[in-house]
Amino acid sequence: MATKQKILIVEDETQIRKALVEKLQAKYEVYEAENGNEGLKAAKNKLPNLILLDILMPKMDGIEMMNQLRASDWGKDMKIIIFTNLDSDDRILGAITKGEPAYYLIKSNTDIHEVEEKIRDVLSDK
Amino acid sequence: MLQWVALTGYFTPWLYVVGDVLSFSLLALLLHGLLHAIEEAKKNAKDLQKFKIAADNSMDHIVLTDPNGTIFYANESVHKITGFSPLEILGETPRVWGGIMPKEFYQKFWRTIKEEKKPFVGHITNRKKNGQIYTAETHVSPILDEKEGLLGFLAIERDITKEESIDRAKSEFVSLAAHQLRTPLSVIRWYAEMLLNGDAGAPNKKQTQYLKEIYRGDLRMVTLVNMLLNVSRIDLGTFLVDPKPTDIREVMNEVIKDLEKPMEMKKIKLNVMYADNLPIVNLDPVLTSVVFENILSNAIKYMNPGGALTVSIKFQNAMLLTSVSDTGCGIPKHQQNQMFSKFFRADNAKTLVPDGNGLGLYIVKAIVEHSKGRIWFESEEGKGTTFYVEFSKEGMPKKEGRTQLVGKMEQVPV
Repeated sequence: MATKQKILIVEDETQIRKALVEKLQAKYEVYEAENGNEGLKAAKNKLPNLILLDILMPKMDGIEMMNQLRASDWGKDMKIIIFTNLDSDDRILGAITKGEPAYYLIKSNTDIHEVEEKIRDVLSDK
Repeated sequence: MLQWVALTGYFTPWLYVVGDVLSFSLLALLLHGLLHAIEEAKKNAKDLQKFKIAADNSMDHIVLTDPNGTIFYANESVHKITGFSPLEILGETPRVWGGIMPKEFYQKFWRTIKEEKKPFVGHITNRKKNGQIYTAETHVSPILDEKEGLLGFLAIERDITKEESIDRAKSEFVSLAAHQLRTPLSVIRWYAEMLLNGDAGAPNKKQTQYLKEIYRGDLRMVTLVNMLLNVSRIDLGTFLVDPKPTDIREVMNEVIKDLEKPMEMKKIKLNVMYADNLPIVNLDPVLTSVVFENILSNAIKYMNPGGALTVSIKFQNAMLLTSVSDTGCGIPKHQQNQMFSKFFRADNAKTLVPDGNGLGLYIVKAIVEHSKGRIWFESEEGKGTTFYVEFSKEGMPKKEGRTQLVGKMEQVPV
């Protein structure tokens, strides 16, 4: 049996995080973090195949975590999907234009099966 | 002969008396007239004084000018609002505190009051003596004599800075609240979806039915929240316009693809016609897609099954003209002028589609006008409607802003 791929969910809203874990834990090994600081620690420890990254979080937001990730040698090539309710404002547009893959979903406008499909596509490099 | 002399002699004193009486009466009459005129003048002066007291104490700024705009009366509020003293104003024109609007504004202003001799009403931005900018609502009326000759102008201004800041606060509140609603709306959506999908065991028929209602109800709320966010960004002016060279056909094709399912369900016959000479134009693809999505989704919503939807894009007279025609319920003539108002829905629309929010066209019109485009429609109740959206070859001007508008506003249940 093939080992499950690892997904790290970085999200401060507990209900959102728990719903995502519920959906994804059948097919993936799922890890959680509730802010950028915890996210960086978990990313370094578990070396996930993909990170589902929220932007607005206390202590350290998603953009800052992404910048630090990219500055590290263990994190610079990690796959990231930005998953937020911000509608492409300055912070995100700035981050995306810096050459980040433009994997970006708006939480409230997306079905959870679409999230799953997007994760599958990104993991298989589509 | 002697008798005549005697007679005249007899009557002469009477003549004197009559003469006196007559002169006295005349004098009395004259005096009376004079007194009456004085009374009238006093009364007029009192009325004038009453009006002057009213004008002097009005909180609105009131100014009277001659036909050239030279001020000969300014009430106390002019000083209170603009900061300029009566001495600095009398004999000058309102340019003392104005003159900062674009040229076209003043051209339209003078044309209205001087050439057309009609009152002008509008919002104007002025500058106080201390340099502070403020917004006012202004009413300027030409004063005409019986022969329609221009005697001067009456200008009334009201400082609306406070009203504007209240409006801003309202829009910011809507934006904040709408944004906070997004999280719980996602949670409800996903769990309903997972239950429907059997992730917690296969639901029975009734459970499936109820869950679909929950899911659909949630999508309606998400659509409303998206639209409220867009409305608040439009009202606050915080949305950005990011034009790039765009093939308008690609934008339209994407929108059509997104609406495939509802069109299929309603068996709508779609006819698409793109002219051969369509140029690449600088458009913001997100905004263009919001406009097309809303117009097409309305067309589909307000048609009965089996209706026909015709989409055409032409390029003529350096204008990119998109038209969307439906065979739907149409818009009643007496309600057509309200179609672009916030929250407005025509009566027949409300009957056919009970759950609309009336925000779509308000959003679309704001986008099109900010993009220097035009939007209009032709409609006949019971027959159908055609919406037209026109952009010039120059496309949309770039606009700095905090955020994009929400792209796919409407969440369509699949």
